[in-house]
Amino acid sequence: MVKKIFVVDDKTDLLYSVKQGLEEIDSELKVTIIQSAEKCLEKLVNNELPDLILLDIMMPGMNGWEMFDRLKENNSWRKIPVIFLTARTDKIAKNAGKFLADDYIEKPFEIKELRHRIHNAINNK
Amino acid sequence: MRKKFSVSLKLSLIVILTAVLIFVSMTYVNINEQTALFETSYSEKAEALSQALDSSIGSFNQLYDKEKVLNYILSFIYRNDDIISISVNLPKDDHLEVYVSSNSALIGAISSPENKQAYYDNQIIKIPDDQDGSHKLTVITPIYLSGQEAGTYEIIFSLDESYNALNARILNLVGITIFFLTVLIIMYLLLLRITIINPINTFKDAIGKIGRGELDTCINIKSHDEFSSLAEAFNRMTKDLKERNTDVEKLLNQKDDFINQLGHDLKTPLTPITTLLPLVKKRVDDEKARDMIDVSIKNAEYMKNLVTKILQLARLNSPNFGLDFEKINLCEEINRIIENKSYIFKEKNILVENKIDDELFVYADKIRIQELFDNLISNSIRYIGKNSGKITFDAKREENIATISISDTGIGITKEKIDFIFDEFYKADSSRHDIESTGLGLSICKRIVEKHGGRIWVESLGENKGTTFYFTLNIYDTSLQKNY
Repeated sequence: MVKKIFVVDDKTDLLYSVKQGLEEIDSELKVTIIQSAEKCLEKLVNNELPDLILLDIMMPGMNGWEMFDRLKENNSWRKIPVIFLTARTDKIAKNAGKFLADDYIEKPFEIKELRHRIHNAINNK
Repeated sequence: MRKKFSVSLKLSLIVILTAVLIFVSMTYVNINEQTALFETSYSEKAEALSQALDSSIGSFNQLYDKEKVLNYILSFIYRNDDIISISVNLPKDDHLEVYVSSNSALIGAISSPENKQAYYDNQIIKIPDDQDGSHKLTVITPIYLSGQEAGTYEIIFSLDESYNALNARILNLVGITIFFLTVLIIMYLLLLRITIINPINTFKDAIGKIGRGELDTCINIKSHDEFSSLAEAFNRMTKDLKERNTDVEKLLNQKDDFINQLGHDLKTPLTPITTLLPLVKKRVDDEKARDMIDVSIKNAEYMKNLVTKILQLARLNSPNFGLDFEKINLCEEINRIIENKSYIFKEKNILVENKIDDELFVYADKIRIQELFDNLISNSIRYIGKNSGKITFDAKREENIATISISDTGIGITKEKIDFIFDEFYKADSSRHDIESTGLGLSICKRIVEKHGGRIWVESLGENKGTTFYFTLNIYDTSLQKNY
């Protein structure tokens, strides 16, 4: 069964490579690229729900932490697994709880490892 | 160990020694002077006595009235307690003979040679005699009657009473001196404590505080002496030190921010490169072009590795870095890490076994522990190389310490290399110029373990006999939470 993945990041090259990389090695994954947390929320509001969200933390406008809080506040969004994409582990400490509740992968990541984590997260929800 | 003497003890000893020396020398001088004074005063007394006797006797002829002369002598002795005896010596042939004496046993005996000398030389002779603890002074004076020398008086004085009085005075002096010396030393010690010892202790405490990083320490001494100016200098120093420290802290924070920003900016482009290059390679048929892409991928991977690890190490070395301690089930945590890496193990044909007791809880920072295992696992994978192999996790408890081991069946390490393996940028196999290894992974491991208060070491039976890394972590118990 095809799994729908949202990848939310402000960097277009990263979005592009995640989509290309994941879809190339796994035909079961359908990746939608979204350039901001706001746009992602718009999609969710329109009841377009993914099987998993890959969420960048440092974004202009709404950041990953705030977006995560919104997801957890909503009953129908709460169960969507989230994997944080991060390049700055130093700020993790303060928000460690959020990381440990779901999952995180540090940039630069291996696309194979990302794929593996995505499947784990979807299967464990 | 050498015994320590406090400054006050040393200074007090010096004062006591000086005081005793002064006292002893003063007493010695005093006694000598007194003795000389005794002799002079007794000889003067003897002279006065002899003149009085002369005038009592009156004339040369009266001298031959023995009874009268004896009465005079006895009346003098009676009036003077300190006279033992008085003898009158008169010349006979070529010597002097005792003519009349208060000591009747002496009468008729030949007088001492000093009498002859006093008679012929017309002088007063003093003979001190200190024997058996009693002090005597014999004074011989010439007799003058009717304007001519007639013989000598030999007067023996007892000086015991005078000496006793002197000794009593000295004893009194000693008592008073000891009393004042004691008062002086007590006052001296108090003064010493207030003016020197207390300020020194204040400095000692302040230096200790500054050593512990309490740079707000200020010394308040208002004694208007060397110590207050030293305190002022000290306070200026701590103020400068604090300012400089603030500057350094600011610089360090700037450095951390810079490294973080740099890290972020360096890491971001690496994901598209390392993700897309393999995809490109798949779509290329030309073999030469595929080789070129392979070299690019290999170098991009190396750079990715290097950037990640340099940033990890910089973070660990930053003074602002702290750990978030929590209770961790080690077995579960390792299972999770193994699960995340399972695709690599499958690819490389590596068997993984986790023998750790599922009830072992350690007290550590979860994210750093994950970094630690990531580094150790990629190290093991590298050691195993292209052949299939096995990685085993195990742990032993010893009181409140867990020793965790991770063993592989790889190429092993020679004894010479074991000592350097945790050094930054050290590569165990430098001959291979292994591009995958940054030489930083194990120094990161060492820093993480040391930050947790543990230690890390490695054992290997030699080449191709596998490697085991060991490290220690604190086992969780409820008391730990309060200590961190």
